[in-house]
Amino acid sequence: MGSKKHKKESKKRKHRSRSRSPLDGEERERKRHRKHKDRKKDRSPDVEEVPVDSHLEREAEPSPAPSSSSSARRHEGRDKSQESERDSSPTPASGSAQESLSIEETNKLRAKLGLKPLEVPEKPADDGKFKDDLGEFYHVPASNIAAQKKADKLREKLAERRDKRDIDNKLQTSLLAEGSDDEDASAWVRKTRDMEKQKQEAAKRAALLDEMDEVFGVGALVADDQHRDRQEAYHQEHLKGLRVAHTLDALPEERETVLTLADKEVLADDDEDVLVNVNIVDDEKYKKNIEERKKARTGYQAYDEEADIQAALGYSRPVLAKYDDEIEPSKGDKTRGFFIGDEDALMEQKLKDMMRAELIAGGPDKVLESLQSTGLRPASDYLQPDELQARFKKVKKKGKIRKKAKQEPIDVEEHEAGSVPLDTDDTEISQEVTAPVLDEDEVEVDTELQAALHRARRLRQGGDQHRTPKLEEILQQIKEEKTEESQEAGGSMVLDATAEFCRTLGDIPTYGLAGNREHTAEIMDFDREEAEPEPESGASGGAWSRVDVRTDRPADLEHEGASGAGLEAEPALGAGVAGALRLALSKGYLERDGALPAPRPTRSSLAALAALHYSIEDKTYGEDDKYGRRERGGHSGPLSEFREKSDFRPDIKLEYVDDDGRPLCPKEAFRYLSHKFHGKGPGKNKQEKRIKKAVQEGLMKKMSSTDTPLNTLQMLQQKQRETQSPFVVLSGAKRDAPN
Amino acid sequence: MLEVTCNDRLGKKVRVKCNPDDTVGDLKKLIAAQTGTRYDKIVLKKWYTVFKDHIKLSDYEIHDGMNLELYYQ
Repeated sequence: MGSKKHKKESKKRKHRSRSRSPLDGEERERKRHRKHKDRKKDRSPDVEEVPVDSHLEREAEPSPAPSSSSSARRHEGRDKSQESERDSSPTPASGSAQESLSIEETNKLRAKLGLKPLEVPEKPADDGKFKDDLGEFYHVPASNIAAQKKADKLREKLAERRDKRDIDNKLQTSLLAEGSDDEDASAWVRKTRDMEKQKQEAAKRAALLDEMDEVFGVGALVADDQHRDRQEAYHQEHLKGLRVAHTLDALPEERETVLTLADKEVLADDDEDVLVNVNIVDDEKYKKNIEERKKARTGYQAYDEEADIQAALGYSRPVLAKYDDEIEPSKGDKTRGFFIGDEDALMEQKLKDMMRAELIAGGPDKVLESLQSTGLRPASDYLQPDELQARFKKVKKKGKIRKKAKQEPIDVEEHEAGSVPLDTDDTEISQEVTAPVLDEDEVEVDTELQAALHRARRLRQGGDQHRTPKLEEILQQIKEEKTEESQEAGGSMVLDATAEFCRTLGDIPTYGLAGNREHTAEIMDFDREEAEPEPESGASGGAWSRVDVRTDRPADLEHEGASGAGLEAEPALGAGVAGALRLALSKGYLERDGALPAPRPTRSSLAALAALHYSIEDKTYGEDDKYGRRERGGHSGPLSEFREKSDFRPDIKLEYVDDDGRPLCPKEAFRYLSHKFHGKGPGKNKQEKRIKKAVQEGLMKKMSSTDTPLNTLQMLQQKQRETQSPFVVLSGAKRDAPN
Repeated sequence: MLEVTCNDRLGKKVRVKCNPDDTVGDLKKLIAAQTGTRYDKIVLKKWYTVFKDHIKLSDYEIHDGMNLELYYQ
């Protein structure tokens, strides 16, 4: 069977190749165009065969499931008839990019290979249902949102159109012009006339009816009835219980106030009628706005006095009252006001008002203390202006007053002592306190006089020291002094401004000596008899010096000498060795023994110069305070322990000597101590230098002050003595020498 | 049904329709029928994985439209 089939195939192949050659050639041509040139080489005859083979298979198997070979053979019988159809319509799969077989061809091939045919996926049913991957469940297809939106839009548009059409239908009216087009002027006139006629008829009928009523007296009855009805329907009694939305105070007493029923909402569930006056409502609204603005500004108050008062009056204590309006806007309005005819409530209200007023005002012993603290504010770094003012007060200047005083100098001469107190700007001196005001010049003179007297007394005492005073003399002296004092007390001195001026001009040595100045003598008129016993008159600035001729001695010579002038008389030589020594000492030829050439002024000697209220300890106190325990730690006590030693001031003198006993100057002493301290002496060179210096110093001390080191002067003098000539001939050569 | 593309990069590229429960050997036979190469000379690879003849395509997770490398031995 296989061989037979084979033979048939080969025969068919020949036939097919013949019959389909133009198409194959064409197909190949197309492929060649598309593929790369290199591939042309690869196109072996084998490859060419494949489509041929597959075509054969396809022709052999038109039905999808011909598995048995018998059926295949059966179909092969019809091959020729189908072949012509295939020739005319090539399979679409063969035209693809790669060599790919169609399903049928593949199935044919598979059958040949002994494989089951391909499982062609069945077309999904058209009911819009999709099976899931497992093939078990159908899923509802997801709705397409875009399509849905589109549909919605379309529907909306349609609805709009319909609505528009409906409205147009409804509003179809004849336009004014169109309508008038229908009627002509005559018709319109007729119409209006009709209307007028109807009106007139109606009026006539009404008049007729009225007439009839009047005739029967019905009109008066009706009017009366109406009035009575109204009266009955509403009178004062009916006003009772109506609420007036204002306080009694708000209604002015002196004139009538028209109250109207307040507006209220149509759908309001409470049907209470409230009487208001429009103007008062406006006023209240205005007041309320202001109050709310104030409240908003204050914010939260921990201690609300208003709330306290409310609580004291028996009202419920409000919690955060400022939000009441927001919670229930008309709550306040409903409780406000009074009811007409409700006297008790009015009285109660009045009482409460009184209590409130009392609470606010407080009793006699009530002290109002607000608990509200002033708000915190950030502290400023700078002084506030008010603080500044408090700190610095401007000092009032007194310059003006002083100026005045200068302009008008007080004439001291005019003011008699004790008569009228002087006009001074700052102090008031009472009459009793004012001492007799002395002339300035007088005071000055007095002091001078005192000085002169004092000096004279001293002089006399000094003079008396030489002889031993006898008792009589002493007595005499005492007596004199007494008289002197009495004279002093009683002694009047006439001074005037001219004399003073002349005196202060300075001493003119010749002034008054010529005797031509009589008046001056007169002016300076002491009582001569009284002045004469005074032997003195020390030179007091050149004024009024009077030299007593009887006393030869110069006035204060000894005294002044004691006070230490630099010039001393040369001690006289010739009073023995002592005199010579004293001379030598004074001239500096001899040093005072004890190596104290000029004893330093000790502290005790300078004690008189020291300040009385100053001591070194004052300093130490300050220092103690300053660095007290901090620097020295806790182990040192106060510095001023030994108070009893406060006047112990030892005279300390630091003196240093070196190893040889020589005194050292401070610089040297420091060097010496430093070397000792560090345990390291100076170098060898330094030491030599120092030694040399010391030696030189010693030589210098030994050096004679009168001669050169080589004793040239001595030799010169010797030579002169030898030659007995006052000169010496200096010459370099021996032959020149005179001797 | 699935269709795999087999390419030796020497000029042969074929698309073969097959079933997921076909073995690799079956696929090779189909390829051989299309290309004319003997099926026992064909090696199918994906990267370094050489597909074995007796294993089904579904076990190798070969899906529709995959590219397989075609080699010869």
